[in-house]
Amino acid sequence: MSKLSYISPEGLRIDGRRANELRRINVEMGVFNRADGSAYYEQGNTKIIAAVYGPREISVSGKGVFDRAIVKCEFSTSSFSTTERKPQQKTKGDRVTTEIANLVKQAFESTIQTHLYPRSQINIYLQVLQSDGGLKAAAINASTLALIDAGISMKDFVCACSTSCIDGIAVLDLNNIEERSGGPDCLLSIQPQLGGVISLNMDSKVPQDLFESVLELGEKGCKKIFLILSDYVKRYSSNLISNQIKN
Amino acid sequence: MQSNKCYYRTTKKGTVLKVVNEIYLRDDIPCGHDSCKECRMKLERRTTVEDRALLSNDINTIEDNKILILDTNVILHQIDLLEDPAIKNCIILSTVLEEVKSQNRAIFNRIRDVIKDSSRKFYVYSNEYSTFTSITRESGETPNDRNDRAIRIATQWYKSHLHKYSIKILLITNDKDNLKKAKSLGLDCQTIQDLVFELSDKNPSLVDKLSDPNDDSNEQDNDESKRFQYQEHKPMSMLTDELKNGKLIQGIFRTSITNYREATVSNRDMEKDILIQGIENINRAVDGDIVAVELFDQSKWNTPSTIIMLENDGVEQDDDSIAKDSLISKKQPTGKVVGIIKRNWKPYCGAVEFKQDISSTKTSTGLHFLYFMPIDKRIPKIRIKSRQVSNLIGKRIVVAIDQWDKNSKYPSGHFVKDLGPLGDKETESQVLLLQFDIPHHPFGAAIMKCLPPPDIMDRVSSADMVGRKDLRKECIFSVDPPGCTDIDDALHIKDLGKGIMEVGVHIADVSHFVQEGSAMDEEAANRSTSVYLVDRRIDMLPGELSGNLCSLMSNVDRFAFSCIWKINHQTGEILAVEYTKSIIRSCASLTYEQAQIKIDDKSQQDQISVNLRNLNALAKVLRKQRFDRGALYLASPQVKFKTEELGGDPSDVEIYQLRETNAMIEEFMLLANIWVAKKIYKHFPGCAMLRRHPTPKKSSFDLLTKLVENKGYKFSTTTSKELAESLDACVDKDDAYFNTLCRIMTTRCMSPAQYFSSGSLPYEDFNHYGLATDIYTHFTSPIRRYPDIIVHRLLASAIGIQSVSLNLENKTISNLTENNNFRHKMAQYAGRGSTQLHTLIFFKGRKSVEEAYVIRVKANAFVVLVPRYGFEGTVYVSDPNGNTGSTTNVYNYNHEDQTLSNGIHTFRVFDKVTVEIYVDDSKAHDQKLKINCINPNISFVPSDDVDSNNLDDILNQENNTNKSSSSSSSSSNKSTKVRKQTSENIKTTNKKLKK
Repeated sequence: MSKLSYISPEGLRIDGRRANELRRINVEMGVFNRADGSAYYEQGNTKIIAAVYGPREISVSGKGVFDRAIVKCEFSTSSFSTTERKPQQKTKGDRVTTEIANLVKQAFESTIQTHLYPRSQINIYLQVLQSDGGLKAAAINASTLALIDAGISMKDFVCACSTSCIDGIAVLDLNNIEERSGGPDCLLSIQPQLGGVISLNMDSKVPQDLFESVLELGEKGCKKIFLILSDYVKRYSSNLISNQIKN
Repeated sequence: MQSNKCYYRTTKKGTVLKVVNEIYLRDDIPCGHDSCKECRMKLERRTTVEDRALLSNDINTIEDNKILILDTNVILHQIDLLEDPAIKNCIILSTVLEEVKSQNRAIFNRIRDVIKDSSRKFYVYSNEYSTFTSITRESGETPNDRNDRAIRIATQWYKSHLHKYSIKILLITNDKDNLKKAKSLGLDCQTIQDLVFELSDKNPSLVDKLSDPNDDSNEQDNDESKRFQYQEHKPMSMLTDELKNGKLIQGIFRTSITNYREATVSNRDMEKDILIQGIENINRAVDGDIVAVELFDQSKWNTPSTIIMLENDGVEQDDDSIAKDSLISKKQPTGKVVGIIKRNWKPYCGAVEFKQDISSTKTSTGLHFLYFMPIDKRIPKIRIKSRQVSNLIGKRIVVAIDQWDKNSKYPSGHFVKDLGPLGDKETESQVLLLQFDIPHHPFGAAIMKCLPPPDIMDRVSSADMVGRKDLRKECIFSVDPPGCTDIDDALHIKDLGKGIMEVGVHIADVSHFVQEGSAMDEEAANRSTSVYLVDRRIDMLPGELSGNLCSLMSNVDRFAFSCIWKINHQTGEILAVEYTKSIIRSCASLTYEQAQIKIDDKSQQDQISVNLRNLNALAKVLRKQRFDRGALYLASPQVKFKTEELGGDPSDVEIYQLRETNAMIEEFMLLANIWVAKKIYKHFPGCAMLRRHPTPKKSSFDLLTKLVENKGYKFSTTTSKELAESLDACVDKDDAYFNTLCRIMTTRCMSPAQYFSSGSLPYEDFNHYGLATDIYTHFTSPIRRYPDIIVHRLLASAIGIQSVSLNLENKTISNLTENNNFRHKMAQYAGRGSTQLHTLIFFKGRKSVEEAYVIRVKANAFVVLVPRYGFEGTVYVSDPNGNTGSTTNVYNYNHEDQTLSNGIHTFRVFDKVTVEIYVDDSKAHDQKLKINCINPNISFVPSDDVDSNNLDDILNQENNTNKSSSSSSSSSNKSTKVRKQTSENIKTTNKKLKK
């Protein structure tokens, strides 16, 4: 009985959101000068930085593909990102980080127009500054912005959002507490303009009849994120242009 | 999404951690008042149509122009009052709810229920999430003060927000500080007492429900308070420290059934229970509390007292084995209660103790002080106040304890509910239901909404038919007791030639209508079983389902879950089995009697009769196999009351008659249960809902073996098969009942069967001892048992017609089984209690002389079983008060042989005696059955002094651990002169009781 009630009968979640609401999203592009492209992405208390290098020469010779570029991704969590500090060596190369890195790599291999960059590689580096749930989605969204900043041609944005169902109610964008509710963790990433689904990952089980509504909610969430991102990208690029004109 | 401020808070968790959680503050939380357009418009702008539909479903709005805002302490202390429908139009702040939840989960659930009731107009305002009312804790402010401030600020906001509609906002708080501060802010506020006295003109009963923790009632018990001064309880912080370093011991406090001044505290780490003696050492602990105990030095350790108080021996629980008597206890650790860790106060049923002189109890405020006597004798008297004394006398009422001061001898409480006149059948049945915690309220609107349309069976859609076989062509029939409306099983049999029979067992497909997770499902899971009292039935599912849509009545289409075997009709070998959902049309609903006639009357050659005969023949083959494996045939003294008119008083009692057809149906139900158990275990080894009957310990049969061997029979209990054979051999030519008696007593040596989840036990422990099968479950009565519904769902998933449920884990199933076992036990107790009640009503104005058998011998009494009426009673051979009676009444009790003798008469177990049964109505409010032994005649008449109630007996069964410890205590002295030993102790107890 000591179970937390994740959604009150009044329809509010622990942090005061309704079931279908996202957390606040703040983004910034071009945060680093040395990287080809970079972005800072903040969703609630989850804060993540992405840096993109490339397209450039293949670092390990022989690994390259003659007709397209390869995407590499490295994901790491800073030791100060969670409430309890973790020792440095554990934050890289464990199962969770490898999984997220692979997820990002796969998502972008299919979205970047890789045939434009034969025999080259594109590196995406992700660093979590603060973690409060929804890391996978944040990693993908941050990478999208960084790749755009690097000027790499893509077919579309990739927007991702996590959904779940708690006590039979479909819930959008889980925070850290809600992720521990034992409900399923469903990650949906889509190409919002082309309408394709890039990936759909799910931990744990969802009843069949609820799955539809979970998916639908996830799609809505992704589209909302897309609006925020594209709005920012437009503003950022018009800023760039006006700056160049001035110069 | 609109207001995106967030703030941080830190909490401590063992090591100090900074926990940061976001809080989104919103400006679209409606204030909940009906006439406030502003809030509604705002909400409508922010949400989509679907969201609103979702929201408006379960949100009440407030209409009145006077709104109450309740403080936490009001809810915590006055929940009984708040449950009264006279209190309306309240706002509960989310701050308050959180506080209530963290302090008392039970009260939280109760207030949530009140909020759910739309007629009550309670509205929850999430003030913590609103931009207008949210506050941050200031430095130096305690969490409590912060919450009080949050409440005040919310009140203030409400006041200004609803100002233009001229709505009065009233803050109800009993916290003096809060009251003062609120007044200084210019808010209207009142204590709950003031409010209730204002309302009391219209609803005088409200005042009684008021719990009054701050009230000083010194005028009443000045003299008492001088005499009874309990030791102060240690504060919680000190207790936790001392518990940690082992100075104190924590445990559950259990008052002895036989003596309310004695109790035990059981602790998991201690081998033996700790004994607490005397009310000073008990120190205001009430049965069920979690207490902290300080142990005395070993030199002060004591043995439990050996008194057996009058009337404590009633009908025994099945598993309260006689054999436990042989455990002889030595000195027990003894201690005293120094603090209460958690109270387990519940509302108690009982009656007001009536004093002649009403005016003497009157106080200056026009209230009367009364003492309330709970039915449960382990609970002390409770002092209550009332304005309506005349309404309370002669009534069964429910009272809740509020507090127990150190200078008051008894706890003080308040009136909760009036159940009806004492001794009335209706009232006492209510009491039974409350006593055994049986949910019996009518089904709520949310549950009724889950019901399918009544004509669903006429319009079967293709969706309903997925995975369903059409068996409407088969000749399916049901056999049940007469007057049965919830038919959950039906059968068919078909000769396939070559000596192979197809047999189908069709069980009502309840899980088709009871969707997992629906309100109805939750209610059914909570009720867990239908409860059968003598004159009524408390359904697990609404009548529409249990009596119609699910009931497999004849000549209508019904959904069923079928289990179909191909069986060799000579060897009984199962050649194939098929599980499927189906649609059936039963062609006949027979009673056991009708079916028996059809079988016996060879002239009837219609298809049903032929099929019945085939089934019967096959059942015999199967039954023989089962008994060859060592299944037991057990007996219970079951009786049936005959009433002249429906719902009337019982006019006659008859023994429940068992026919061959009963056994036939039972056989096929067992077969279905076993095969379903195998199937679900195969598919869900970790979380199948199964039923087991543990093999009894050898020692539990020791005493019975000895007693039976004393009668000159061999009695071997090594295996169930040997036991079955021994039981078959226990036949006395002169006394046909002896065999049944042996079987009844064997049953009592065994522990009852239980539900469990297959993941929590190794396979070896799955066995069902009584049925001699490796694996067993309940599949065949989903209308009246919840485990069967779970089993149905499991089976449906196993055969692939239903998706696997998310909740299928060992843990959830285990939790369910726990509740099921508990409810099952309570339902049995209530059933027995109801039988006792009706026996009492039956004997009113009757005096009957009957044969009876001694089934147990105690130090000053023996227990007899009256087969004719199927009840047990205690016959006292000596007066437990010890102050009357002649010296010839000295009986020697021999524990080894279980005999009681005074030189002239000797009473042994299995002895046949003649007894006289009548109702002792010397006290109108406290009637009970009396049994006197008239052959052999003992000239002892029990004194009337001791308070007791017939219903106690049931309660006594509840706590068999206590019982066994007390009974074992009596046996510590192998042969005692009972009268002498007990007299002193009982005298003192009696004095207490008379008070």
